[in-house]
Amino acid sequence: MIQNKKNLITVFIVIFITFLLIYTKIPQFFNPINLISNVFVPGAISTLIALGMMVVMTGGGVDLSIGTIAGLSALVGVSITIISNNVILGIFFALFAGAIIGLFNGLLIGGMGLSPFVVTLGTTFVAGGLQYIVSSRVDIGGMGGTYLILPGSMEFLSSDLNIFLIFVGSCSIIFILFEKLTYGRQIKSVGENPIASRLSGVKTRYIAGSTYIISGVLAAIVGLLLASLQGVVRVGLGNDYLMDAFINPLLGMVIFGRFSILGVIVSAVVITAVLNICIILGMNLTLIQITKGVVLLGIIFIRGIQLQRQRRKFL
Amino acid sequence: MYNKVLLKKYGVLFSFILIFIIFAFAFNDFTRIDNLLNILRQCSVLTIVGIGLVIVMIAGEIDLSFTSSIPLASAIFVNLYNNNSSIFIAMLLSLLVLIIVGIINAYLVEGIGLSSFIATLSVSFFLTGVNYAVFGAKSYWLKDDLMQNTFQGNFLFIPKFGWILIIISLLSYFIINYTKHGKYIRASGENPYTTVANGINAKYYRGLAFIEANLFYFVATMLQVARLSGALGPAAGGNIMLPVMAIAFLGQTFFKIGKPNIVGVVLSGLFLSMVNNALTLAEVKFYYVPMVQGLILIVAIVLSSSAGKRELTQIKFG
Amino acid sequence: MLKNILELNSISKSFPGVRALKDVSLSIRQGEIHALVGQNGAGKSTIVKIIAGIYKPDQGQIKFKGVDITDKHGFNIWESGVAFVYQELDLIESFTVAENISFGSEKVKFGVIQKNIEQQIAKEMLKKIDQESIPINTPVSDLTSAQKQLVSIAKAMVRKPSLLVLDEPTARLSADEIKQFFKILKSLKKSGISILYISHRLEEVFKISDRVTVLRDGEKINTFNVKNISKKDLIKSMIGHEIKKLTTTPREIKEEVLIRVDRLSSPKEVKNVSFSLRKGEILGIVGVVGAGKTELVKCLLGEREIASGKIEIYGKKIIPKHPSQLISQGIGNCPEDRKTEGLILKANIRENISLPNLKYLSKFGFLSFNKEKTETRSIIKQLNVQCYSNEQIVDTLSGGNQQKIVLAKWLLKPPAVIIMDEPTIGIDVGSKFEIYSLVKDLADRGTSILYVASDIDEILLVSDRFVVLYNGTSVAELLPFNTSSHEVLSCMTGGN
Repeated sequence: MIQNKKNLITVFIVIFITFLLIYTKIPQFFNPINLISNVFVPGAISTLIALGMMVVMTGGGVDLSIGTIAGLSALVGVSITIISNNVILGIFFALFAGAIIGLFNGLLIGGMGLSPFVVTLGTTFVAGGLQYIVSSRVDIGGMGGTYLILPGSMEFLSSDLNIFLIFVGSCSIIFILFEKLTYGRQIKSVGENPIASRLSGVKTRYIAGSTYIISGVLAAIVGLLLASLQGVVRVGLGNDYLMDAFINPLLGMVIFGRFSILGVIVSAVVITAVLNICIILGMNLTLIQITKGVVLLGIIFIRGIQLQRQRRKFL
Repeated sequence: MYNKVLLKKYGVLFSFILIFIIFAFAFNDFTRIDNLLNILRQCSVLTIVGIGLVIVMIAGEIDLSFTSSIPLASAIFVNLYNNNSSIFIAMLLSLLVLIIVGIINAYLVEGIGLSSFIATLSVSFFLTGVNYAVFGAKSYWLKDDLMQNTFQGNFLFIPKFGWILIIISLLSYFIINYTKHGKYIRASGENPYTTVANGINAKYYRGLAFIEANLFYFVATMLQVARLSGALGPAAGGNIMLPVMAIAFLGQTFFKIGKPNIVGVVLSGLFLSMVNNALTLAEVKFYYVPMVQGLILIVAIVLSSSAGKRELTQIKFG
Repeated sequence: MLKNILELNSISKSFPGVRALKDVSLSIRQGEIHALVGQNGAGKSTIVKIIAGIYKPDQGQIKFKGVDITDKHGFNIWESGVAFVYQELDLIESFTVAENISFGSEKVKFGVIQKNIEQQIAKEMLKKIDQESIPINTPVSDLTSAQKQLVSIAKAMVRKPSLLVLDEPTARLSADEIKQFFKILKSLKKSGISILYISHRLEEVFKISDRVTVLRDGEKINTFNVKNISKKDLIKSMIGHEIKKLTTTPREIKEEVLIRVDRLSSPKEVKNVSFSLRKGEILGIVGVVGAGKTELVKCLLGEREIASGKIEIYGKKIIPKHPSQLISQGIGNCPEDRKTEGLILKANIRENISLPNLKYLSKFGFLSFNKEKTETRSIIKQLNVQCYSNEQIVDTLSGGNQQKIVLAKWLLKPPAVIIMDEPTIGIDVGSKFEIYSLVKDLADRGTSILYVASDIDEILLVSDRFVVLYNGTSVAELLPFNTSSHEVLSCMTGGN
C-alpha cells in the first residue's frame, strides 16, 4: 500500500488527523500512564513475539509452538530462580530452553525437510505437557500445581524501563540480523525461492532451520516478561499470543509490501492502541471482538486482491 | 530398498498394532469390551472433524476454520432449541451456517486465490469474533435431555457415537473412492495440472471439498452438543484444533505415504484415543497425554518421510 | 480418394518479441502417419498448441474434417476427435490404469462410478492397442515409462479420435519397446486413425511415417514423402544451409584440465558420460531435449545423485553434494530455467546479483551496501543490461536482460568456470549474439565455459570443442571448425 512519496504524505496526514481527533475526543488516551501501561507494554510484548514469527515466515515456515515455548521457558526460568536463588541463572536457562526447542524444530524442519506445520504442531503438544511437569516439580511448601509465584528477585523484569530496554534491544538485534547482515538476505531469498537460493550457494536448510532458534529465544523473552508482569507464571502462559504472532507480520506485509520489523511494530502498536481506545470509550467487549475479526478478514481480503492483481491462480 | 518402502508404508500401522498388543498385556482392563467401546466412543467427535478436514487435505488444501465454526454452530443450535425452536429447525440453521462458512472458504481460496492457510485461519478469527458478539463468552446448556437421550447410550451394545463414527467413516470412504466427485477431488489434490489438462475444473472440485467438510463438521457439532449437553463458549475452539490437526496429520503417515486418506484418519483417531485410554488406565498424570500424542505425531512423520529430502517444505503466505 | 483430416492454411502466430510461426500450411491425410520435424524453436510445439486450441492463430485457418474450426474459441479438443499424448504424461500416478483410462469420461450412476464398466472400457482400449498384458488394477506409478506411455494412448483412444497427436512418444522407451510401439501405431493406422508424429529421432521418422513436414525458424520448408527423400537431405532441409564449414581457425587452448568427468552415470538419465574441460576453453555439450544435458549439469552441481563414475575438479576427486562446494571453488552456474532456478523474480537486480557473492560483499557478516551498489552497477554497465536502475525488479526485464543478470551473478570476481545450461533459450536474436560475444570474451580472459545447448548452429558458433550427447551418453567429441551441422545432427539423432 505505501508505494511512493505521495502515498506516504497521505498516510501522514491521516495519522495527524487521527491524532487530533483522539486528542480532542479522548484526551485520557494520552495520559502517560495509559500510554505506557496499556499501549506501550502490551504493544511491545505483541511485537516481540510477532518478530520471531516474522523471521520464520520470511524463511517460508511457520512456528505454531511459540505460545507454548513462551510458557515453558518462563516456567523453567522461574523454577531455576526459585531453586538456585540466582536470577541470572534463571534467565539464562529460560532463554536456553527457548533456544533448545527452537533447535529441535529447526533440525526437523531444516535438517529433515519436514513440514513446519506438523513439526511445530507436535512441539506444541510436547512443550505444553512439559509445562505441567516443570510447574509440578517445583514444590514450594507443598504447593506443586499449575502455577508458580514469581520470586521477588525477578520483579525488576516488569519495570517499564526494563521492558523498554528489552524491546529496543531485541528490535535492534533483529533489525541488524534481518536488514544489515547477510544472514537476513539469505533468509529472504530462501523464503522467496529456495531452489534459486541453493543454486546460488545459499545453505537453505541451515538458514531455514536457524530461524526457529530465533523465534524460540524471542518466545522465551516474551514468556519471562509476561510472567513478571503478572507476578505469576501459569501453565498455558503465552497461548493467547499465537494470534498476535500471526496477525502482526501479515498486517505489516499488507501495509509495507513485505515482512519488516517496522511493519510488525506499527501493526502491534496500532492494534493495541485501537483496542485501548475501544476500552476507554467503554465499547462493548463483544463489539471489540467482532471488530477485530472483521478487520482481520478485511486485511486478508485486501491482501488477496493485491495478490490477484499480480498473478492469477490458473488451476 | 524394498524394506524402506515397506517401513514407510506400513511402519506406523505396525507400530499401532504393536502398541495395542503392549497395552493389552500391560493393563488388564485394556481389552475389556466396555473399555474398547469407550475408546471408540471417545474419539468419535474429533475423528469426524478430522474426516471433514482430511477431505479438504485430499483436495490439496487446508481448513482451519473449524476451530471456531463448530463452537459457533453449537451455540446457535443450543440457543435456538432453548428458545422453543423445534430440534429440526435448530439443526437446519446450524447446518446452514456451517455450509455458508464452507462457501466463504471456497470463495476466498479458489475464487480469490488466497492461501488456504491464511484464508481459513482468518475466517476462524472472524467467526470467533461473531461468536463473542452474538453470544458473549458464556456457555449455554440445553434445556432438556432430548439430545442426550437421542445420541448417548448404546445401540445393540455398541455406543451410538461409535455407530455414527462407523457410518460416517464408511460414507466418506465411499464418497472419496467410489464416486466421480471423489475421484476428481483426489485428482485435483494430487496433480492439478494434469487434472485441468484432462478437461476437469480443479478449482470447482477443491471448492466443493471445503463445503463438504462442513457437512461433516455439522455431524461432529451435533455429537459434541449431545455429549456436553450444551455449547461451550468461543474459547473452546482452541481445544479442538490441536487434537484434530494431530489426527489429520498422523493419518497421513498411515498407508499412502504422506498422502491424506480417510482410513488413516480413522486409524489415527483410534490410535490417539487408545493412547489416551491406556495412559488413563496407567493413572498417568493428565498432562502426559498430549505430550505422548505430540511425540507420536513427530515420530510418525519422521518415520514416514522420504529420507534425504532435497527440498524444504514451504508454507506460502505471499 | 485421399481426404485431408486436418488442414492448416497459412497459420501465423507471434508472441511478444518472437515470431513463432509464419505462414505455415500443412495437411494430414486420413489414415496416414505424418511426422513433424525441426530443430528446437522451429515451431513444433506452437503448432501442436494451436491444433489443441490452447493458442489461437493470428492469421490463417484450421480445418478439421473439412470444417473450419479456427474461430472456435476454447475449442474443446476432446469433443473434436483429436486426441493428444504429450511428453509430460497426463496420468495421475496414484490412480489405477483403469481409473486413468476413464479419467474425464467416467460412466456414472447417481454419481457413483460404475467400476465394472470402467474395467470393461480399460480392457477394450488396451486391446485396441494390443496391450492386454498391462494389469488394469495396478496404480500407474508401478508401471514402467513405456507402459505409462501406452496407457496414455489407451486413454486417448477412449474418445474415439480420428487424429492422434503424439509428441516425442519414444523419449523414454527402449529399443524393444519402440518396436512394439510401432506395431501398435501401424495397427491404429490400419483402423483408419491418422497420426501426427512429432519427433527428433529421424531414424524412427523414416521407419514409421508416410510423410514428413519440416519446420525451420517458424516456417514450413516442405513436406516430403518419406520414400522419396534421404536422411541427409532431410537434415539439410532442417538446417537450411549447405553443409557449412567454419573457416575460422581454432583458438589456442592450454592443456590444463579444470574439470574432468569420467564415465559418469546417474540413476536416471545420464549413462556413461566422459569429457574434460580445459582452462580458458569453451566446451559445448549438445544434444536434443531429453538427451540428458540438464541431468548432467545437475550431477555436477550436486543436485542429483551419482550412480557411478567420477568427477574431478582441479585434479581432485569430488562427490558434489551442494552447489556451494563448486561456487567456493570459483565455479558458477546458469541454470536451464532462468526464471525459477536462476533468478528470484520478485527481487531486484542488485539483490539477485549479490546473492552468490554475499561473503565477498560483506565484512564480518555485515553487508556493505556501498560495495554492493557500486559493484552491481558496474557489472550491469559492463554487460550492457537494459534497465533503468539497479533496483529494478528482475521480473520486469526482458529474457535477454534476465539472462545477463544470471550471468552477472558470477562476474563480480573473475570466475574460473561457468556452467551454462541453454543460456539463450527464449531470447531474441540480438541479445543472443550479445551473450555469445560475452561468453567468448570471458574465455579470452581465462574463464572456462561449459556451454550446454540443443541448437547446433549455436554450438558450432560458440564452442572451441564440443561433445554430443545422445540418450544420456557422450557419443562424440568434435571440433567446430571441421564439422558440419549435418554431421552433428546426425549424431544427435542416433546415427553414426
